[in-house]
Amino acid sequence: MTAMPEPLATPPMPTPGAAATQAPRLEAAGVSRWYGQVIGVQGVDCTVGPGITGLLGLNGAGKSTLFKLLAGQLRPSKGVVRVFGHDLAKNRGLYRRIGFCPEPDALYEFMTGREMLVYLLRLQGFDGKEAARRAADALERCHLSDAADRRVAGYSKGMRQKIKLAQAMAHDPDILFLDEPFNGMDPPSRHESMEVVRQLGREGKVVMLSSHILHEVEAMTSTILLMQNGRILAEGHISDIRDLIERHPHKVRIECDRPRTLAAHLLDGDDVLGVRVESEKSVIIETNLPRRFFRRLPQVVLDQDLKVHSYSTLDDNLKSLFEYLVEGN
Amino acid sequence: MTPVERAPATMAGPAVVALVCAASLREMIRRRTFVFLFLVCSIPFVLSLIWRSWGSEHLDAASFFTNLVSSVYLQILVYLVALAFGVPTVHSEIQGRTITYLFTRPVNKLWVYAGRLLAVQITGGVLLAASLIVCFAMLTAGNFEVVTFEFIKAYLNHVVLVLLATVCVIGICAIFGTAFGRPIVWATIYCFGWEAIVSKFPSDLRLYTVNFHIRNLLFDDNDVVAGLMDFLRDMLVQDAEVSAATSVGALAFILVGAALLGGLIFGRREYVIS
Repeated sequence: MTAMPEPLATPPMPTPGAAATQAPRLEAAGVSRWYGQVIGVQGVDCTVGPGITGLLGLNGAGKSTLFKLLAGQLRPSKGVVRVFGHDLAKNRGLYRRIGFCPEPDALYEFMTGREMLVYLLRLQGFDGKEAARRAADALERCHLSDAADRRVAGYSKGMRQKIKLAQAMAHDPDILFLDEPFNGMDPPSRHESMEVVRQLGREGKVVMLSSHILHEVEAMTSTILLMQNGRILAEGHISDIRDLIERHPHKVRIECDRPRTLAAHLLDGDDVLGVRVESEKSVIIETNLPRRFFRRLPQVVLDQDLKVHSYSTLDDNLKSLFEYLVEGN
Repeated sequence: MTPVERAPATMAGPAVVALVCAASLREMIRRRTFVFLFLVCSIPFVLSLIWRSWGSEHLDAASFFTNLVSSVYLQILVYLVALAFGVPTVHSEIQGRTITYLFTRPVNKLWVYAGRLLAVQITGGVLLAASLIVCFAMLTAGNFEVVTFEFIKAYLNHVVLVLLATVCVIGICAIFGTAFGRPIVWATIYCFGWEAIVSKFPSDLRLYTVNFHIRNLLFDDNDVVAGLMDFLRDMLVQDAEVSAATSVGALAFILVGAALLGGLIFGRREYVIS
């Protein structure tokens, strides 16, 4: 039997040369969490290494609950979360190594951005001078220096998201949990914040980022965990997920002047699984090879001299992918 | 610099208390309830003004002040302040969801609770102390013959007891805010049910109320105009003597016990912030 490591007040950091022999930075072993009869998270096993990992799932999939468990805000009903090999629930000192950007729009409204960061840094154990220096640094990295001395109550949605991100990274943690960090941001702010997160990943930090938007995660990382109904449904490279999306049947509605003619000719190809003439002006095509289908479609339209008014995909990619995976399982 | 050197030392408990308390004080004085209670706490000033204008011939300053403390401060104001500040001690951070930030810091929750509790006790205490000082000024301004040694002694006794009652009841109300989902209901039942009624019950049950022990320590309680409950109680039972030391001990126990119990609940309970 292997003895469990003693809880440490300040667990030692792994040295770069010894990385391979060190315990994983973040590990969830059989983590479940129930709220009475309701399952929040069920039997999650995962090991997360340096770099950015995307946690992808629909709203209500359990992403936030998993983050709260991994960040130590909630205790697992079953299982254990280990940070550098130590049980997080038994060692509050490990919280120094963790940065958490929560999803709710909750901030200390009466403080300025700088004051909020200094306050939270002081609680991390930094003295006033060092806390002020780190706060200024984090504000600058998050492009909030200009608004640093304004009260948080007057911040825009994008600025509020940025200050949450700043407080998560200000104490230079090794592991960061960012729960929907780009929600409600305008495109420039989103771009700036994404670059900040990418930089954290490049610095070798463990960054877990949750989102229900595939392309948002795709822009940040190629490593993802798919979550549905409180379980990890799939994990791996984003290209695998893209392939899955490509392989699973897509529905496309095409509005044109002669839908029956279009349907008949499209059925000739092996990229079409089925057709349904919806009305005298539209047809729904089911395809399992969307790329090939969309390459062939213009040729059919030209050959038959059809007038296409519009076309649209009926599936939300991520949602339909989850349904596909659940059916497959 | 190695990562171990980079990591700061865990913050000492008293430093966490001071930090959380200072931040919480700033939050409290910006609340709307603070302004509301400030206005409510000016009621004794208005009553003092009325006494100065029309009642000073019928009731001397010491008796008026004793009645004011006994029937306004210890019956209403202390409980209103406790409900307004004590119940949201941590409940406001839970409702506001900012508690997430405190739960993900390497600090003991007990110290966080102590910091919040200290802040609400200071805020509530300062509000009532200011109200009592203003009343003193109103009673004595241009009326210096009332300022005798006995009056000063009784005044200070009353001020200390009002403040003691405030911090004790705030501590108890904070437990409701920590333990229950809808704490204001339970806290109101406690304040205006248990404390207001049971403290006057003709039985040993009243020993389990803050109000009884505070009143037991009041100087010149005989001057208090008895209410209907007091009249009935006097008719029904012979008061069991409770020593001042017992009351002081009971209040000290409540003060420390409430803080520890609230901190213990806060430390062990999980709050699902959604």
